[in-house]
Amino acid sequence: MSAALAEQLENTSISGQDGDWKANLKAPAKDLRPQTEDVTATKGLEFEDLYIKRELLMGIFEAGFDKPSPIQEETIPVALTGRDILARAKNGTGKTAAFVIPALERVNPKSTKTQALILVPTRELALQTSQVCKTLGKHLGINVMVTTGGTGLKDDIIRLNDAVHILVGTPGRILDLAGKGVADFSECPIFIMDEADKLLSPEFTPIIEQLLAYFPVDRQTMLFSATFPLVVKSFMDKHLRQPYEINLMDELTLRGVTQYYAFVEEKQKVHCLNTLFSKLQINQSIIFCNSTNRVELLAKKITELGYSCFYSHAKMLQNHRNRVFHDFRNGVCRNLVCSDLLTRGIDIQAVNVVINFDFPKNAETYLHRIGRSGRFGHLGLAINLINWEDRFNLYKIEQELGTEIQPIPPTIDKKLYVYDSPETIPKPPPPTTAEKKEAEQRQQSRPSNTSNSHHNTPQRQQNYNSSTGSYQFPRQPQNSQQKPRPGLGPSSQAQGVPPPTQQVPPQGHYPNPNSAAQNHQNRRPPRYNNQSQQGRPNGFNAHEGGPSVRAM
Amino acid sequence: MSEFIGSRISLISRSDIRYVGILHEINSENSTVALEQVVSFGTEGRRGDPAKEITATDNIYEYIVFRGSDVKDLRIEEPAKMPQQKPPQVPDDPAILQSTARPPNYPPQGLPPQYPAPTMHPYYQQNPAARYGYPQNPYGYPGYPSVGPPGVGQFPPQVSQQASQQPQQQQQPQPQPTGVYPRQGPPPQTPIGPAVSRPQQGQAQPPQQAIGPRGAPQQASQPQAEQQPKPTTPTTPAPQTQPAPSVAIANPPVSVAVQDGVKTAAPQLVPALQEQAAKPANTVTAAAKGRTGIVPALPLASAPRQGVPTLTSASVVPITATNAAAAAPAPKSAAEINDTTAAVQDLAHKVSQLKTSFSNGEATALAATDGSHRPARQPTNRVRGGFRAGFQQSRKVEIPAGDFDFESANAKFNKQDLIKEVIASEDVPALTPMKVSTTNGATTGVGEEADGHGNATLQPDGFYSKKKSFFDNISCENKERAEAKEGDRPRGGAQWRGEETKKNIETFGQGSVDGGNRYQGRGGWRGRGRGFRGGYRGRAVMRGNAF
Repeated sequence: MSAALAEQLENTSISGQDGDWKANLKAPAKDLRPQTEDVTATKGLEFEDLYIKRELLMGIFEAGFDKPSPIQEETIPVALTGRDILARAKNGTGKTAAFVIPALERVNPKSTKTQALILVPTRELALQTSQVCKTLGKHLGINVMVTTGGTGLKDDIIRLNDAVHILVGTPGRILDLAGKGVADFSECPIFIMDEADKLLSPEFTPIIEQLLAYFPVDRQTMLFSATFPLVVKSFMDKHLRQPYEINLMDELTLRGVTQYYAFVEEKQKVHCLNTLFSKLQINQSIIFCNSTNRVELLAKKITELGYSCFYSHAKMLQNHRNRVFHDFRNGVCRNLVCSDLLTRGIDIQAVNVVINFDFPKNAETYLHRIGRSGRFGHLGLAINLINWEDRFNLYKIEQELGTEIQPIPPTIDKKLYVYDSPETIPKPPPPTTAEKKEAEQRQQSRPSNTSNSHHNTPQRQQNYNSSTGSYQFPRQPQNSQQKPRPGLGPSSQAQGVPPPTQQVPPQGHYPNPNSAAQNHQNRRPPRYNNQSQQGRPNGFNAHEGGPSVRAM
Repeated sequence: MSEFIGSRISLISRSDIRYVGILHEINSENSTVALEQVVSFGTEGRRGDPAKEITATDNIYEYIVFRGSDVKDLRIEEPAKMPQQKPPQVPDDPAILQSTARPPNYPPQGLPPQYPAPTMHPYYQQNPAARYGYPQNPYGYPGYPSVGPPGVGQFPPQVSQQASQQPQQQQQPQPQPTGVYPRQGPPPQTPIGPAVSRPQQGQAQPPQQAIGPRGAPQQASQPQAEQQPKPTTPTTPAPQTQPAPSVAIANPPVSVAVQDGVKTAAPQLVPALQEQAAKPANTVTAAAKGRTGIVPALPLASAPRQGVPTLTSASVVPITATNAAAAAPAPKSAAEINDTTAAVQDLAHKVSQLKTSFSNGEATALAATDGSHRPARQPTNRVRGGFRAGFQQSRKVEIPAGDFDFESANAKFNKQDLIKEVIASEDVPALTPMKVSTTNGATTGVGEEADGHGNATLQPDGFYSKKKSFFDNISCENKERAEAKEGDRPRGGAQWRGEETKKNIETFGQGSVDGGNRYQGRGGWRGRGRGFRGGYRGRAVMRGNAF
């Protein structure tokens, strides 16, 4: 009895120690890279100043957040009042947390109703956003569910039998669920649209409008994007009530992203890319093509050139897309070739180079593409391969964005995009225990023979090198050189993989990351070695959550 | 395409003669159409001049190979059987590539044994010098040891496996193609060379089977010799009849070689060909006229561009070679030539279109046999032994060994000129010319400058101004699609796909990773807008963004 009392007393005193709770948090290594004023020009608020729950603050700090970014600083207090919000901020400056934090704050864990819907235009973005919700809301005891097309509807229906406080998803599936009465938004006070202008494209708008009919009239609607074209204004006028406008974009482009063009003939593009690979110090890169066919073709060529890459586009099966996304985020592969599917919202901090293998047709696409590098005010490089036909687009986009794309110089200053301590670059947060379990279960049902399909590693070559005869997609990098450096994530720590360091030879204009001695032909980047593969044959390790589509 | 094989085809040649026969094969590599049991219906008044009309014949020609680019129109009629007869004289039509007894099928859907093939093949092997100038210079062979000095002239047999495993360090130096292929019109195409080499491969293949029986290791220098003893072709070397045209026509690779490679590599061949061309020169032969005058006038510039590396590359060869033939009725006005030009392009396009849909099988056939000396074929596991298995008709984009020279490439593009061009054309609203500052902020990059001094200039208020409006007016998808007109080519539409395939071939040497059939009918861009409810369930692959 007395012991119990003592314990109770002890507990009381612990929770009463205000100063200590923060010190005991396990925040990831601090990201020490310099940042631009895109994220540093704040009023100086702290998260503690925002009047949010202790548990939420814990999640925020454990996720490695330090201080609110400008958009978070501006948005969170207003959002907590329940007012409609129209917010505009540059790519990668913290919009997601700016709406997730107030949503988490306002959710009542004791209610079993769905209390916030977060709509996003792509499935990958849904996964990413739900992951942020889960990470930040880790200590809140709430249930976040992600649901997208391309997955079984039945599973989603079953999951919705439980209390789901925050639902994240893509419009079509959400509308399906709402239409079936499975998802109940009748008392859902928060409706959030991320990449709102994309969600207001002609094919999505009718869905959104139908969906809004399921919501109470006095809901809070919040729209976020870096681009708000005039054509979507009518939607705001119709569905938002005196929205509070937050616009933090003095100009459109990110300050940390240096943009270059390389003038090429179409047939020289692959050669040009090859040279870029050899000369740039790519931590991770995203390479954009203008069609799905070209994504696959380029991925194939890159593989033939001896570099590894993933590719992703909308015509792939969803579980393949998820795997690619998950693995690339975790730094399994250095290069990702993709279509405009991943143009928006995708946040991979380790990406320091974006290459427009095909120049985009409009300024909006261009802006979002190059915004895949230079995340959260960091530095990055955008390189555009321009052919003769692209020249008017180049001019147009420069004009419209008010930016200048310069010819690629013989020497690209490393300071513009290379970091000395990449090991502190944040990685996606590790999944929770429940997610791990779920991921494991999912893996068992995952067809193993599909695991290679979109991981365009040079398998043959690999096989050639390692002579294991296995064509499995290798998970563990034998040679750290090839592994991108997204940082010392918990997983790599656990596996004892040291943060790779790249020697930069002094010779040559461009630093050649691949000139190290372990290079087989002094040209080809080192490959993964199958023999060092310790994980599951499908490439996942047990402790690393697979892409959990509807993980909760 | 195979579904059309065996159906009865009505074909109008450039000479306006209509032929009806059973489709034996469409060879996209050589861009030829082969018909069996062909009946010529003459010009049927298409020439518009009774004096020039050619009457129909009752004869049935066993097997005629038509040059694809000389085919004006091709229609499928209902399948029908016709009685067989011995083929007498073939009409004098340059479109006829070859008229023989129907050759045996080598592969399923086989390649018609082309005469040039036997011709070329021995040449290929016997004349080492020719290898350089030949289909493509050997440096380009993907499997070629990347370190080796260029031009050793060995074709490492069976390197294809390695080829994909090694980084494609094609040793083809950039300037090489220019030297080796003196192409008339366009700048040297992709340093790939398959445009020329591939068809050759295709033709080099049959000889292994065809030569034997024939027992004539022909040489390229005597193409005529071997043309003449054709079994069923009327062999009378009378000037007005077949031999001359058929020599010229039946030898597309030879002529290509002449144009593309032989001048440098195998000079001894040239006289031979010239001689050959000269012989029938007094007649209206495609050979003489075509080779001398007209070829450059024809749209080489555009045609190879469209067709270069892979799929449509096939059509390129015939175009060059056939342009000659096409122009056979020589004294044509310039306008006519232009017509021809357009038509040739059109047909080349048609054939290339045809090709995409049925190429796999053939490509496989080609690859299966030419693998011995042409390692370029994709050693994917898709080649499942059989001829028809989904062979990836991929050609390596050959990467020059050296680094891409950004400086000199960028020197070709002057942004200031672009601004002038834009202002002149007024396609893009002429705006204040950008301030071009040369310094680039060391740490913060371009943005800083914009902020520093040029903000007002760089950021025309027409597109985005925070002060003026929350909303921007930059070009975006929503806007583009709102403004899209009915007549615009829809993304994912047939025309769009065709253009994309062309571009892909130029960039990657192939149109798509799997021959291009996969995405058809999957509901591209256009499919997104409609039926958003219905389309959402279970069609994972189909739904969503068409990116």
